[in-house]
Amino acid sequence: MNHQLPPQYRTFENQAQAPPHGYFEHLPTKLLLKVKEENTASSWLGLHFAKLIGASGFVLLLVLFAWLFKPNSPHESNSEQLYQISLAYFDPYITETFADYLSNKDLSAIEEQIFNEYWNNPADFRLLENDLEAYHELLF
Amino acid sequence: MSKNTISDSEILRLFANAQTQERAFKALVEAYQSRLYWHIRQMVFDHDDTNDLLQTTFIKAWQALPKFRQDAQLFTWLYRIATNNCISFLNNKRRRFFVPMHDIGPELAQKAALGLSPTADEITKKLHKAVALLPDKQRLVFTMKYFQDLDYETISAIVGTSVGALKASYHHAVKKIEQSVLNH
Repeated sequence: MNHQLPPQYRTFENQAQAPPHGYFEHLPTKLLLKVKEENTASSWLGLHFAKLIGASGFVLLLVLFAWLFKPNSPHESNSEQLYQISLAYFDPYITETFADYLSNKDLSAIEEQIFNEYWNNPADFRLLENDLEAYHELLF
Repeated sequence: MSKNTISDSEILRLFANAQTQERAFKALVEAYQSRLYWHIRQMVFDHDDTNDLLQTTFIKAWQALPKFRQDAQLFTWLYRIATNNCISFLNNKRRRFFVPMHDIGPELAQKAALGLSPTADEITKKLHKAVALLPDKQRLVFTMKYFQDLDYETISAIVGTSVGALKASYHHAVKKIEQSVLNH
């Protein structure tokens, strides 16, 4: 093959389209900027890696504390308060029944309503009593 | 080395010093960009792909130059990085869309035709098409021997294949090209 084709066919550069004008003149500077950028990026990562780890750890710690010391949800504290009030206002049998009912997770709409109203008007004990009475009538 | 007056050993000496590292890198690119460009271009044919692979080659060289052992020539080492980049690029092209190893020969042949000079004659077109249709290893050996006129020892140092195996690859490549040029 080497001897069958004239020498001009052995120069690829002469047969192919040349790269765009100025390509080789600009490439060294372009590449230098690229490696500089890469250096900056890698040193930034190096410097901030510990900070990133630290920040993530701190956030995780916060989440852990929040989970450990989370306040009772309004629903839970309301149930507890309702139970205490019912204990004070009604006889033990009703209170026990009411407590049993509260422990049932499938709460009725009426029960939800009582909780919500009490939560929005915590000082209005009369309203609560009325609701509890209504509730009692519904139950028995 | 091409037009650059800085020798390889001088480039390496300058690169070892943080103050002159950028100057050394620029000299390295200036010295080898053209040869590496055409080496890559003969493997992938398309200018844009060549440009990407050439830039990747030099960036990899920048990253690995501190670990460069001077028992190899800088030229051979850069060629090896560029060649490995090309082979990986072509293999990735074959595996694109999760379809294993589809034939990219026709695509390369088309790119080879598009990348030719408008004044290219019929023999050139046939030659480049035939080269594009060769398996990667044969194309690599053929282009390094035929177009770049490298000796088998240098090619062996670049591709990590014995001289005997390279001669066999070149022989097979020449036969295929002859057949292709004569039959089309």
